Amino acid sequence: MTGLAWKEWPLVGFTLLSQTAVGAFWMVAVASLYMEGASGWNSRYLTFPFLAAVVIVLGLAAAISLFHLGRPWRAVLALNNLKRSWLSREILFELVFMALAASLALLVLKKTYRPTLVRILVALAFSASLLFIISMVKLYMMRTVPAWRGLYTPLSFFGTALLLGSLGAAFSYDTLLDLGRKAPPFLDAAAIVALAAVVLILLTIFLFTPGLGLFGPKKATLLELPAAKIYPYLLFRLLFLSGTVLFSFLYYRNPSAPLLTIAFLSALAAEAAGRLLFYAVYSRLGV
Amino acid sequence: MQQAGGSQSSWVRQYAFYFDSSACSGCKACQAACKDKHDLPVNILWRRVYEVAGGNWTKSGNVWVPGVFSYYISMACHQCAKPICGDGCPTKAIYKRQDGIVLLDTEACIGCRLCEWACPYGALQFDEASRLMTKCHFCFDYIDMGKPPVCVAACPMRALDFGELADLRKKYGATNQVFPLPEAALTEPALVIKPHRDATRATKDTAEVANWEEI
Amino acid sequence: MINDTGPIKKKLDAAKMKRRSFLGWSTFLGGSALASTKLGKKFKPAAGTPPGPVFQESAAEVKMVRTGCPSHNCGGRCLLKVYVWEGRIVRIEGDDRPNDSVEDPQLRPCIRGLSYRRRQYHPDRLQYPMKRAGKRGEGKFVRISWDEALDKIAAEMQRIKQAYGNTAMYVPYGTGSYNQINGRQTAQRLMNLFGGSLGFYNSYSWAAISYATPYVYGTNVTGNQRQDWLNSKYILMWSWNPSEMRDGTNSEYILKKAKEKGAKLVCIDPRMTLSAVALADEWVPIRPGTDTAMMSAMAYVMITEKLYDAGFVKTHCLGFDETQMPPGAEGAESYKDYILGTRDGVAKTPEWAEAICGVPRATIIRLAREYATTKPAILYQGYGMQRRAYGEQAVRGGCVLAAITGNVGIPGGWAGGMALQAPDGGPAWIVFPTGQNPVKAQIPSFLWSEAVLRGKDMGPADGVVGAEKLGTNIKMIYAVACNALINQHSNINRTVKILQDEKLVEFLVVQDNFLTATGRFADILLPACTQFETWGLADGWKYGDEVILMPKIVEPPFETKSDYQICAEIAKRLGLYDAYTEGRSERDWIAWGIETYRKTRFPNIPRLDEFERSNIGVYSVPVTKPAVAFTEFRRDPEKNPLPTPSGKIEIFSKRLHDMNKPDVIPAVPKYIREWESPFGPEAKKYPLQVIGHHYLATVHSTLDNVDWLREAWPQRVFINPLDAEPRGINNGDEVKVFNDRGATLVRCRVTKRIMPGVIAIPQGAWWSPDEKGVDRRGSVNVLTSERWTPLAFGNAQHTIMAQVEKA
Ligand SMILES: Nc1nc2c(c(=O)[nH]1)N[C@H]1C(S)=C(S)[C@@H](COP(=O)(O)OP(=O)(O)OC[C@H]3O[C@@H](n4cnc5c(=O)[nH]c(N)nc54)[C@H](O)[C@@H]3O)O[C@H]1N2
Ligand SMILES: Nc1nc2c(c(=O)[nH]1)N[C@H]1C(S)=C(S)[C@@H](COP(=O)(O)OP(=O)(O)OC[C@H]3O[C@@H](n4cnc5c(=O)[nH]c(N)nc54)[C@H](O)[C@@H]3O)O[C@H]1N2
Ligand code: SF4
Ligand code: SF4
Ligand code: SF4
Ligand code: SF4
Ligand code: SF4
Ligand SMILES: [Mo]
Repeated sequence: MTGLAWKEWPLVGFTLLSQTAVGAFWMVAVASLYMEGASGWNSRYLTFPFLAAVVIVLGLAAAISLFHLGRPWRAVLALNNLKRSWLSREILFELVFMALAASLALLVLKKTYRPTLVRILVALAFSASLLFIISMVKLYMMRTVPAWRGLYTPLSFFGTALLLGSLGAAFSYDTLLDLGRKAPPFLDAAAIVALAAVVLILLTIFLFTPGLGLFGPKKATLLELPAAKIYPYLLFRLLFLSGTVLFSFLYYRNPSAPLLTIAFLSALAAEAAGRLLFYAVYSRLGV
Repeated sequence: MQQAGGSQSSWVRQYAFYFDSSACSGCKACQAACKDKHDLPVNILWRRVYEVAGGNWTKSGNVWVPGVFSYYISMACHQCAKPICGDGCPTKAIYKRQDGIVLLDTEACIGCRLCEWACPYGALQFDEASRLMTKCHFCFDYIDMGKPPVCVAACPMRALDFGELADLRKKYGATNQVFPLPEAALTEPALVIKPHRDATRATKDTAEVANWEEI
Repeated sequence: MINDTGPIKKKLDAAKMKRRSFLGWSTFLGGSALASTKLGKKFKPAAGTPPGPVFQESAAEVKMVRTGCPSHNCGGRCLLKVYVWEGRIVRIEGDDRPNDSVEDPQLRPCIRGLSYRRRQYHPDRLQYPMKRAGKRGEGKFVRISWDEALDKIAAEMQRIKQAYGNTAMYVPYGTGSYNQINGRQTAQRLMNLFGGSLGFYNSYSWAAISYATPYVYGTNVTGNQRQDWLNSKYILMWSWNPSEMRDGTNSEYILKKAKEKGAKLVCIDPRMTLSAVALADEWVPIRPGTDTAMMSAMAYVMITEKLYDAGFVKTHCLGFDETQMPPGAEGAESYKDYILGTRDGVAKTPEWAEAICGVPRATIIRLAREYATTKPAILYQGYGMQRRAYGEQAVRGGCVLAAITGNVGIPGGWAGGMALQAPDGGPAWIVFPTGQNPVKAQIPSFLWSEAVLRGKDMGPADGVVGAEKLGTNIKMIYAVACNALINQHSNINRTVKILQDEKLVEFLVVQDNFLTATGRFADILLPACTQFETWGLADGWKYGDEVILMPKIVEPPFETKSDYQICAEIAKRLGLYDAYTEGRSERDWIAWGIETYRKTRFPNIPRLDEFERSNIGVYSVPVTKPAVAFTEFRRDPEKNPLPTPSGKIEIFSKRLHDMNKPDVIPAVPKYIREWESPFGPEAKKYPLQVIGHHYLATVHSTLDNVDWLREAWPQRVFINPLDAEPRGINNGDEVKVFNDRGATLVRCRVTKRIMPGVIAIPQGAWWSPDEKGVDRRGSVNVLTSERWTPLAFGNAQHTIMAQVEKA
């Protein structure tokens, strides 16, 4: 099962996109609640285009994930085992989150909302999205796959959500909606979260690097991915993470859309490499 | 009928395989019998045979002296008491029959391949043609007719047997784990093995599966 | 096309294929599937897990027929349960007769029999007669009618007969079918009625062993019935790999039983074989071609430590020491002389042997002691070590060890050598009558290419018997069930040139199921049906106490015909139809064959009608009191002498002595360095010894195109890490294996299970040359040599050296 994980591209796409959407939503939800306006929450952040984008990205992620299935048109059956299967739950929470984000978007669009309702919806959506990511984490933390069983999986999934989420939110507000620079505190927050995420990710890289790592595939499996196959991914990832930091810093010094775009794309590339590696190190106990 | 991972008491019997590794020649008649009965395409082996090889050659004077050992493990789905494969299945396609046989309902499977990731015995195999998961089902159709699974009936060395787990344990002992099989506690396989004499020499550091390309 | 795109596809196709009429879909216990699904699932009661169709054996539309696995030269004869539906074989299972026991064991098939549908329904099967279109060997053919094909063959037979005489025609060694109705014997009968053709003796299998054994024992019936193995305490499996080559269905199983009874088993083989893993307590790797050295050293230990059975040697043997030399050879070197080095100054000590065999001297000493003192004991000789340069020596060497340890003629012992089973020599293989061959001249089967090149002048010096001179070269070859003109013969690149020359062999007919390497050289290529498509009858392979009935199960597809029918139709064109058929149909011949068995080995065998009706498939005789060869001789050698000139076990053979070629045909078994060996100058260029062992993937070249078999047993060159590493070769790499005769590109398996200095390329892979003539499939016979063994004129195909490099 080891080897380059290109064949898992639908899962790479699904996890990256949905984590980005969730992470961005977290940024915005927190921002809108903390930086309250007169309405009790800040409509500058919780905008219709942003929420619509979240829903669309989630939808796209879900659509891509269908390519992973042998029988996509039976996908609905995947909700059959909520009692036991984290995959069923993942899908459920994704759907719930999407629904909540969509209703928020509608409310925002119609401007007929009551603040409490929005707050409740935001809180619910926040929880659903958190459960969504947790389900995703749990789904991979199988007892028989030591490489995924440890801290590595939550760290990388949450790391991705925070990094791509924060940069994605900033990117969409600045570049797409032209709102960002009017709200420096939001960007500051995004920068801090992104930086924290980079640190988190570096930690997972460290944890995972063969020879150094505590959870390296060497530990417990027969099918080992040779280090020679892992290092190129890691190098690539480190390179693009540095790019992210560099361009974020340049942007911070001198805000301009291209710089932020590059920073975001660079983060995306780094995370894509990380995710490919994530699937590539799959290796189970036994045979 | 029990969901995979349900408590053991809820199925009334547990069918199991016996495998005598000390007598297995690795001839793969079992594998072929299964392929023929189920028309399995190349790359799908519900029963497959692992070649374990280990040890070393050392020079003594002018001659190379072999400290080499080898044995075979013929494996199917072990109809586990804790079928980890079914735990994650989002569609409940994998379930345990009342006689302990773990079945996979192809009408329910969506081909998400989660079970394939999970099973530590490599028993679940994806069929590219039908885009569905497949696995050994203990020849439940033959069991229902009172006939043995074809792999068991095929073995020229008479190294395979089947029956109720409790009976097999009484007859052959309780070993269910030798290199390179995973810790039995993971899934509690319904399997009794008579190890090859050299199995005691085999560990992760001294031996390896030598025929990956064949399985 | 083969209908098995997968279990699910099959299910979806089911309605289309009208299977429901007889195939009940799996039904689950207790509404299981229903309970397991709630959301969005359209549950159909007919739906199941992947099993696909479930047969009701009783269903009228499915016919289950017990039959023999097609009788190729596979090492076994097994019983199959074949399920037929709508004229097609849809499933194959093994023998399921109740009361499986050592006395009368089930004849369980191997992977090849169980994968047979993939050959039976292979898309490449020959469908209609063809004639050559391009140059000979180019492999271009055009379709012709049966009439054109058969007319042409009849005309050519007459032309060649007139121009060169019957001796110029040849039906070569070819072992594709032993079911009576298919196979080369059908063509031999035709030829014999037509005035005969050049005959052959010996096989590619057993040339040295079947030729040399009688020099020791006067007979090839030197084996006990196999159930007697259970009486043994110690079994030396010398070059013997029954788990892979079977050597009679159930040999490996009976050995397992012997082991369970407490016998110790040792495998002496350069490869750690399947048998070594499953059966042996110990694996002793030995450098190929040096077995006689090890045997001699074991004798040295037995002689110097007085462990041999001096009494038995005295009363039953000839030529052990100077007291026992036959008249006329009183002063010749005895066996003891040779072992102690009295004459040549070289004592055959374990130290001496260690340097040759690569077996540690301590191991040799220990095995000698164990074999000499554990009574009774078996030294079983496989055929690999005799398909070698001086194969005769290893054969006789083993026999001598058996004799001097006194293991001859006792239960649990073993005389060694050819070991056809007592008391009657075992299975007959062919009962279909080929008649008398009016041409008395015979060549050794391996020397056919010599007879093509220089038959005219060949005489006894080239192994010709029955004539002082052949007087003609071979001009026509009718190859039925034979891939041994190219693929299975030695030095493919040489035979390719010989057959390409249309002036040498003027007319070549090949009759097969597939377009084989040999078939590529055919002038006329005829499509034979498979053995499932005609009647047949088989008994064991070497061993066995049963007869298997092989009813015609499905119709011959396309324009294929049985070999018998093809030959009968040629006979018709030669005016020999009635003589050929004697008015019998294929089924009649099988009834006739059963009667033949009744008159010989099996007086109680049921008649065909009853046999067929019972659908038991096999008539077997339980062996409760296994026969032991040489029992009478052992009891009283004077009253029951052996059919040797002396009536004794001839450790020293006066007949061989009189041949006066002591260097290559010594009168006592001696180690002789092979003509290609790691000790010769050739080893500089080609340092690796190559074995082309018999592999479970194929029956020789038969079944090489079966995907399930290649999945299980991919064609590889097996090489020790100690040889791979210095060459920069990793497991799985494609490598080039080559010597002066040819080259092949094949992927490697780096394995510790082969001795350093030795590589193995399983024989049988289809010769597949690229534009440069380099084989691409791992066909070992591009490397082998046409040189024959000195005494038996046998193939020495395991004696080759080669080099390996990364491709
Ligand atoms: N699977 C399978 N089985 C077969 C056949 C087949 O094609 N495939 N063919 C059948 C036929 S026709 C025949 S004749 C028999 C042949 O049966 P064998 O001739 O016995 O088979 P081989 O594999 O040639 O050799 C047997 C063993 O001898 C070892 N060997 C080779 N050279 C030497 C040597 O110099 N010394 C020692 N000690 N060992 C050596 C090889 O490694 C091998 O394991 O098999 C029969 N069975
Ligand atoms: N290097 C090397 N070469 C060897 C050996 C070795 O050990 N090493 N072993 C040798 C030995 S022991 C043997 S016996 C020979 C075997 O050599 P062959 O006798 O040539 O055996 P096969 O390669 O099986 O070829 C048999 C052919 O018969 C065809 N056939 C099968 N069934 C039928 C049928 O019913 N009718 C017709 N008309 N054709 C049929 C098959 O398709 C196949 O092409 O090989 C020898 N060659
Ligand atoms: S058929 Fe029997 S001896 Fe052969 S590989 Fe399978 S279990 Fe082992
Ligand atoms: S062997 Fe694997 S597929 Fe079979 S029950 Fe156990 S976990 Fe499931
Ligand atoms: S592939 Fe099928 S059986 Fe396996 S987990 Fe997914 S839905 Fe269940
Ligand atoms: S029990 Fe049946 S399905 Fe399972 S491996 Fe054996 S033959 Fe195949
Ligand atoms: S040993 Fe021969 S007869 Fe028996 S199943 Fe194998 S190929 Fe067929
Ligand atoms: Mo043979």
